[in-house]
Amino acid sequence: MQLRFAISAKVVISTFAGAALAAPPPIQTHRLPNGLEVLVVENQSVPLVTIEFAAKNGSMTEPPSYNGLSHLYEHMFFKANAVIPNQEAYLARMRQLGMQFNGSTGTERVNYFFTTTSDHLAESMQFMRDAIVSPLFEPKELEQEKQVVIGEIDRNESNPYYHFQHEVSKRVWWKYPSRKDPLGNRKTVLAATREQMKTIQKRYYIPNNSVLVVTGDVKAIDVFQQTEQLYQKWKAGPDPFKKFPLVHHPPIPRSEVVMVEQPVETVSIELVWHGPSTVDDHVELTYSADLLGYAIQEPSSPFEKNLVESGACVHAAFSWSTQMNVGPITLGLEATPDKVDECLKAAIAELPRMKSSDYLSDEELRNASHRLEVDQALEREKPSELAHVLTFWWCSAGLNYYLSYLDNVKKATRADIARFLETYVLGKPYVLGAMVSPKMATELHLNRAHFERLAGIGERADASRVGADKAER
Amino acid sequence: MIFPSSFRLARGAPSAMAGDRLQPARFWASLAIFVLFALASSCATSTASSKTSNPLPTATAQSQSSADSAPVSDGDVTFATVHGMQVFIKRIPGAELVSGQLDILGGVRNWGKEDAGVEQLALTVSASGGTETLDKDAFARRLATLGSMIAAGAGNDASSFRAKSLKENWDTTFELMVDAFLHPGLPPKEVELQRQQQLSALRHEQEDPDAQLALIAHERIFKNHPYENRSIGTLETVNKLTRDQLRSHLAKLRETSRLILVVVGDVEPDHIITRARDLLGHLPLGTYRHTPMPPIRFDQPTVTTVAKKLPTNYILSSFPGPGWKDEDFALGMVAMTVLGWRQWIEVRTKRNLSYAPSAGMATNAEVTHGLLYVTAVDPNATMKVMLDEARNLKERPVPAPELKGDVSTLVTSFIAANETTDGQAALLARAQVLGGDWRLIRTLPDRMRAVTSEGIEQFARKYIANLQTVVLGDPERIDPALFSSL
Repeated sequence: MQLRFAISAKVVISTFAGAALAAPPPIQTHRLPNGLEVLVVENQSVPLVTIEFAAKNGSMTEPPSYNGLSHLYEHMFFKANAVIPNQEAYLARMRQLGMQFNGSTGTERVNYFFTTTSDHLAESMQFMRDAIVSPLFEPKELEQEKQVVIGEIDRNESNPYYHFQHEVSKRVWWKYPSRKDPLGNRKTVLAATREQMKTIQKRYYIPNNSVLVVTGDVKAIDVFQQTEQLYQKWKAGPDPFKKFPLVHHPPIPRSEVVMVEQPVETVSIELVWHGPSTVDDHVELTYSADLLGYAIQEPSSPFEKNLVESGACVHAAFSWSTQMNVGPITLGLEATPDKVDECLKAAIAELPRMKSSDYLSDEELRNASHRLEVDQALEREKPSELAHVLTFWWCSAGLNYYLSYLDNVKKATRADIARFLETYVLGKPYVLGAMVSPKMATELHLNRAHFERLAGIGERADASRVGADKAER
Repeated sequence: MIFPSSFRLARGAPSAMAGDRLQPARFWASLAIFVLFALASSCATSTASSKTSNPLPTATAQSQSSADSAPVSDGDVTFATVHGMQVFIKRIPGAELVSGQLDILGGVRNWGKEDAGVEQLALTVSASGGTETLDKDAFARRLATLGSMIAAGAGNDASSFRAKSLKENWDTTFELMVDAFLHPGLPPKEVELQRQQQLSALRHEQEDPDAQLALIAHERIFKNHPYENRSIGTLETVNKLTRDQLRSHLAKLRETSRLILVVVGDVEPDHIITRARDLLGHLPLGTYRHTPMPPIRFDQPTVTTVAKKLPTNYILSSFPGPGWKDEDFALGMVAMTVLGWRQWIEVRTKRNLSYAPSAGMATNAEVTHGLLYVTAVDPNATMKVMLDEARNLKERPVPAPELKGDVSTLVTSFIAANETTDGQAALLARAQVLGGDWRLIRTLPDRMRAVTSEGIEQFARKYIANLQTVVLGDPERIDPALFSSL
């Protein structure tokens, strides 16, 4: 048996070219006959093990009638299953096993993780398996958990920044807003049925759409053996993304401003564009996007100097989010009310400069990729967090993308950065969101017309209304 | 997310209660997580030597002599004094990264009501503004080339410079950190920049309900206490601070009697001690002596309600807790963990009254406090259950399996906090600064495992009383009699 695993397990090592860095511990992989991919990173520095399961699920799979239900499902994962009769018993078992635990739902991943001392590995692996393959969605527990999720929505809606992000997101993803909104809404959560939970389970919680990551004080061979035994009866299903393909997010039709009034003390501004995807024809531009993002966050970068050190903005950041299905590019700004104009004008003026050949020096580009390299070392240092990192990349980019990531970032050139900006940012439609307090809006006239003038957005194009007319139902 | 991040932090407290220490650099953000575990238990600090017959000096017995003490090793930790500065080195063979923390003792003892915020601003400008020989850009480029990080911030009882680097780059990174402390450039432009960011942090406290709740609670429980003058300051004080004030404040901090250096990684203790002596040993010894913080005490329960239109109500109850040196410290950690789990089951699982009930201890200061936290649309029904569970803890034994399991979860949390070198450095420093003995962290797991059901009942009776409760939300929905009934 052991020999078989030794043969079938692959050892893959991400390539870290930085001379100062030690060779990272290998990611050992093993694919079960049913398609479940198992990744193990051994790290004996502390006697802990983290077991993390993730499925390619989340809001990207949610039409409006399902919006927020991947998240509700995540909550139901921690309730009754074929072995554990109810959540009280579930919690009791976790306490018995000394577990830290949590789960999260994003746009392209839903993950669940348990961290405990390594002497509990076998029991914890079994506990995880039972939750994955046999949730019961007991009607009483489902009804109770809806209220808990509503409580989570209450908390989100108590925060001004939730409203800001939500309003901007609705315009950016105007045709399919639910596909980028993992929290969902009260209506769909309250209307959720057990059958919908089962639909999600059947469609996405299948081994060939999932990954199991185990990090820490373990031996890969033991983990592979256990997974073979634990998951041998878990049946594969049809590829969910063939029958239910991801939507194609149509471009933002034209630039527009969205104003959000909340009880805030400073002004927040976001400019958001559609960016590249990890799986499309422009995947190479994702690396230049990240290289640029890292380079300009250094305090000595021209971006920081022109926007923040100049005193125009309090904070400024520019980044692309790694996503399989259109990652947003976000220019985020914070300004004091008296410097809103200065900050936004400086930011808009900065964008074309970023593509010029002398914007970033060779040293700055080298340092940026080195930062990325060191960040990966920081991730490796904490195995319990590394599990989250690996499932994130597995779901949104694939393991191969992650393994070759640093090499590809290092290959990115200024010309690639310019191409990234020209393809996705410069002259492209975007959504400009601004969050101000009602007092600022009234007394300082920080209204939509003001921001349209500042950004040079011409005739008001109410893309949100256009989008709403045609939004997915 | 099945748990709010605040709950995860808590086993201790909501995230907003992490204290007022700012965490400027991105990797320091992770520190906030275990700050609140209050060191649920030790681990990576090797337990092998806990029975040593060669005890090390403790912080409260800080050397007031300028003579260096010879290095003494206790398991994987080596201790020495360098001209009065305490130096701790923890060896982690094979570690890829090295973390260091230079703690500057004093905290709120170093400033008053009029200049609160001065140490925070002085340190952040020092860490980001370059030095007398390397301007801001050159300093930043040097760090970027090394892939190293340096950050600084102020706290209630101590402030710190913190650095992290690849092992190979530690010496250079340490030199840069010390240079930033001893010879900061303090360029006026950077002073203004960091001032704006500090003011921004203060303004954001008024936006996020958890942060606002934490602030209201802090003002309530530390009224007329030195902690009242938070390290971040106020809009008024921070606006008035001058560059000269920052400069003279920093000068006051440069004395070895108030310095503690902790370095964790695959390093040679002798080398670290030599470098510490070379770079910091010339500083004056100074006259810093630790003065204990006065305790907080409440003679009756109170409820403070701040009206804010929100979809739910934010509630936080506090009570004075045992200090780091107190024999009840481990008891408190375990008792509040048991209570936290029970709140979760009774409030959330059984009654679905809230997404976010929790209980824990805030132990990131010399004066600790216990916490009950929840958000709820029906605050009276929810708080009744929370308070009933607290009362139950005083009256009913905790079954042995429950106690054993909850201690295990604490141990797991603590080991997780020790996964990183910066985590270990922070925990060791915290025990030394707040408890006067770094070994408090090493012995904590055993002390927690020794907690009994009777001890928990005693803790609950002794401490969980006269709750100081603050509510952010709808005053009409609060029953003052209920909220001030424990």
